[in-house]
Amino acid sequence: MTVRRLSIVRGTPVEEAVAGERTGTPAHERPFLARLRRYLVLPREISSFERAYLRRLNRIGLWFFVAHVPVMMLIAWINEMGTAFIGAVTLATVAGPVFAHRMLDNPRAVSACYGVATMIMGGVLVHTGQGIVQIEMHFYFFALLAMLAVFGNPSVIIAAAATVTVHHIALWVLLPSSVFNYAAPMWVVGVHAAFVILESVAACFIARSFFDNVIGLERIVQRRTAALDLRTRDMRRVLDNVVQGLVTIDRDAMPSNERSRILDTWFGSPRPGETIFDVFERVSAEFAEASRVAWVEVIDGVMPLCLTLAQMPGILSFDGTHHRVTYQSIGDGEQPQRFLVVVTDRTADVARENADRDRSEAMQLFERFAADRQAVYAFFEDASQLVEHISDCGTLSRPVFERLVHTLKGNSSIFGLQSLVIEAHRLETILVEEGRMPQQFELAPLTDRWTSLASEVARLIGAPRPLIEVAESDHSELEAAVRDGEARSEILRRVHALKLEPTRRRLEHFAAQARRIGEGLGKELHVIVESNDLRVDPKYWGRFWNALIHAVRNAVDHGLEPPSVRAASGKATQGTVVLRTRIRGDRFVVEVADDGRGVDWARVAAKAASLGLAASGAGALEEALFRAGFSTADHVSELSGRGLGLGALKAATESLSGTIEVETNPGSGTTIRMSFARSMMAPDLVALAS
Amino acid sequence: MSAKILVVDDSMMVRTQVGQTLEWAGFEVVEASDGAEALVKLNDMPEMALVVLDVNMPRMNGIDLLRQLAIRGVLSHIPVVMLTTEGHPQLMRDAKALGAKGWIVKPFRAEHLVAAVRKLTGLAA
Repeated sequence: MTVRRLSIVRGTPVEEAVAGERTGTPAHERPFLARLRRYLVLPREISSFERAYLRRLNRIGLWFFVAHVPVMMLIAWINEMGTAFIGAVTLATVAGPVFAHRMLDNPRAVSACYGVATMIMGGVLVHTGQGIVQIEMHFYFFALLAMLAVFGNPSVIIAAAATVTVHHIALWVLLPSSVFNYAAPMWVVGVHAAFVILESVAACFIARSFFDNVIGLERIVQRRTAALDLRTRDMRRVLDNVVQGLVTIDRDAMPSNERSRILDTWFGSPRPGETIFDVFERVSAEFAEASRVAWVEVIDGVMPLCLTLAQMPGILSFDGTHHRVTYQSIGDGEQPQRFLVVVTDRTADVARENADRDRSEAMQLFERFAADRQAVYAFFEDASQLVEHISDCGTLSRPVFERLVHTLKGNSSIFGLQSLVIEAHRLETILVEEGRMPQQFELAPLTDRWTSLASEVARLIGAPRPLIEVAESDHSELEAAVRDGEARSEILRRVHALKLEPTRRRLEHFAAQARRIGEGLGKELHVIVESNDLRVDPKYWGRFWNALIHAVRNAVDHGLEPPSVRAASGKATQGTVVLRTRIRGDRFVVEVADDGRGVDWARVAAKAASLGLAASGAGALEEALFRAGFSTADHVSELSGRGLGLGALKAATESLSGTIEVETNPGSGTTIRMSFARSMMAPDLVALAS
Repeated sequence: MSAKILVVDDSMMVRTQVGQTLEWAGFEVVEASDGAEALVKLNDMPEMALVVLDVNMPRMNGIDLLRQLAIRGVLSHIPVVMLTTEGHPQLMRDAKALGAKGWIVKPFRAEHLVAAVRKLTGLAA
C-alpha cells in the first residue's frame, strides 16, 4: 500500500516546472505581441553562469573595441581622411563601452551598450573607408550583427539594429557621403534595411536559442536539482516516518541506503558489506539462516520466482515481537536486479488477535461454567494434568505422549477452546508427519496458551474449588433421614451420595457436542440421552468421560453417513445417536450407538495388515480397532482421524477395570459398549458400606 | 502426449491434492506412497518428466530416496522437487546437495506448484 503511494511521487513535476518557468501560462493563450516581447526580452533573473559568461565576453569585447583605434587610424591614413580626427572619433566611440563596462553592474546592459557601440563603429568604418570600397565596408554591419548573437540576448541585436537604422537614415539625409559613394536613392536605403531586418530576425533566433539551450541550461539543471532535492527530502520524510520497514536489496541481498528509519530502530543500521540477512541475524540467527538458504533459490532461478519469493521465511519473532517479512521483485522478468523487502511489525495485531481470542474462549468457558460448573472444574483439573505431563515430555514414551496430546485436543474441542485444539493438532502433526517427539520450544505455544487461559478463567470464575451441588429434594430427604433417626451407615451413604454426579449431565453435554459436530459436517442427527438416573463419583470417572468424546465423535464423523448416502440406501436422512448409561445385572454399562454404516471390517483388515497386525478373526480385528494409532480415515482433520481416540477410550475403560466391545452390523449401525462392575460407580461408597 | 509426473507422498491427502492440481493443469500424474513404490514406477516408466517428492515418509524418507536416485543416475535426466514443511534449512541444503532442483513448502498455492512443474519440465503441459 505504502509502496504504491510512494511510486506516485515519481511523476514529472520537474519537467513541468522547467517548461512552465519560461512561459508562466501556456504560450498559445497569449497574444502574438506579448509572446514576441517575451521572446526578445530575457527573463529578469541572471544565473551565475550567465553572469560569468557575459563578464568574460564583455571584457573580450572591450579589447575588441580598443583594437579598432589603430585599425581605424591606419585606414584613415591610407584613405587620407585625417588620421587624428578619425582616431578621436573612434576613441569617442570606444569611450561608450568602456564607460558601460566600468559603471554598469548588469552585464546584459553592458552587452546592450556594446550592441549600440558596434553599429556606431560600423558607421565610422563606412565613413573612413570612403572611395571605391565604401559600399563593401557595409559588410561590417552584417558581420557585427551576426557576431552579436554570441551574447545570447535578442535585446542586444535589437539595440544594434535600431542604432544602424537611425544612423543610416540620419546620415543619408544629413551627410550622404558618409554612407554612400554615389547618390543612392531612397529604395537603396530600403534594400539595406531589408537585409538588416532579415539578419536581425535570424540573429535574434540564434541568440535566444543559445540562451535557452546553453546559457539557460545551468538554470534548468539547478531547478531540476532543487526539485530532486525536494523530492528526496519528501522521500526521506516518508521513509523516516513510515511504520513499515522498507528497503531495497540487490541480488547479493545488499541493502540500499534508501530505507525506512524504523529498520534501523528495530535491527540497527547495516554496516558496510552486510547483507539484509546479516542484519536479521542480529535478532534471530535461525531466521537469518533459513532466509539465506531460501535466497539461494531466488537467485538460482531454477524454480519460478513467484514461488521462491513466496517461500522466503516470513515470520520474524524476537524479544516478544512478531514481524512479517515479505519480498517483492522490482521490475519484470525472472531475474530482477533489485528487490523490495517489506518488514511489518505485527506485534500489536497478534496481541490484539490473541486477546480477542482469549476473551472469547474464556467467555465461552464461563458460559459452560454457568451451565455446568462441575464439568468445567473437572475439565480444568484434567487438562492441567495433561498439560503438565505433556510439557514434561522427556519422560514419556511416544504412544503415551500421542494419547495425552490427542485427549487434550478432544477435550479442548468439547469446551470450544479452538486455540488449544490448534496447538495440540500442531504437536500431533510433528509426531505423525515428521515421526519425532516435539522439542521443548515447540511445546511452548501450548503450555503458554494453557497458562494464559487458566489465569483468564481463574479471574472469571475463581480458582476451581471442589463444590458439591445439592438438589433441594436430596437435601430435604437427607434432613428427613436425620430427623427420623435412620441408621448412621444409611445417613453416611446418603451424605456420600451427594458427591456423586448424575451421568445425565455428562451425557447431555456429549449430546450437545454431537449436534455441534454434526452441524459442522453437514449431517442431520437426532441424539437420544438415556441416563436412567444413575450417578457416578466424578473423582474416579473424570478421565473416562473425557475419553468418551472419541466414541461420540467417531459415531458422528465416521459412523453416520451423509444425508444423501442415507437417503440412497432407504434410511431416514436424519441419523440417530444414542448415549446411554444403564445397569445390566451387576454391571454398569455405558453405550454410544449410531444407526450408521457400521464398521467396514474389510478396511480394518487391510489397514491392520498394512500395519503388520493380525488381520483375521473378529477378535483380532476388534483388537486392531482399539489400538492406539489406528485409523481407517484417509484424511486427518482437527476433528478426528489420527486413530488415537478409541485407543484412549480403551485405556480409560481399562483403568476402571472395565471392558470395551464393539457391536456392529453393516449398513445398520455400531454400538461401542463399555461395561464396569457396579461397585466402580462409587468405590468410596462401597468401601464405607463394608 | 502430456508429460508424466510422479508424486511420492505417504499421505493420500497430499497425493490427491498435488495430483489433482497437476491433472487440472494438463499433466499426467502417477502416484507412489513410498520410496520403494517410487523406484518401481520410475523403473517401469523411464519417460517420467518430473518427480514431486515428500521429505517425511515412513520406511524410506525423501532424502534417502533422493540418494538412491542419485546413485542410479536418475537425477541426470529426471528433475526432482521436494515437498516439505517450513523451517528445515539443513534438510533443504542436503536435498540440493544431492541434486534436487528445489523445494515447495507445504501448504503451497496451486498456481505456484503448476508454475514450478511447468518451468522444470520446460512444457506448457
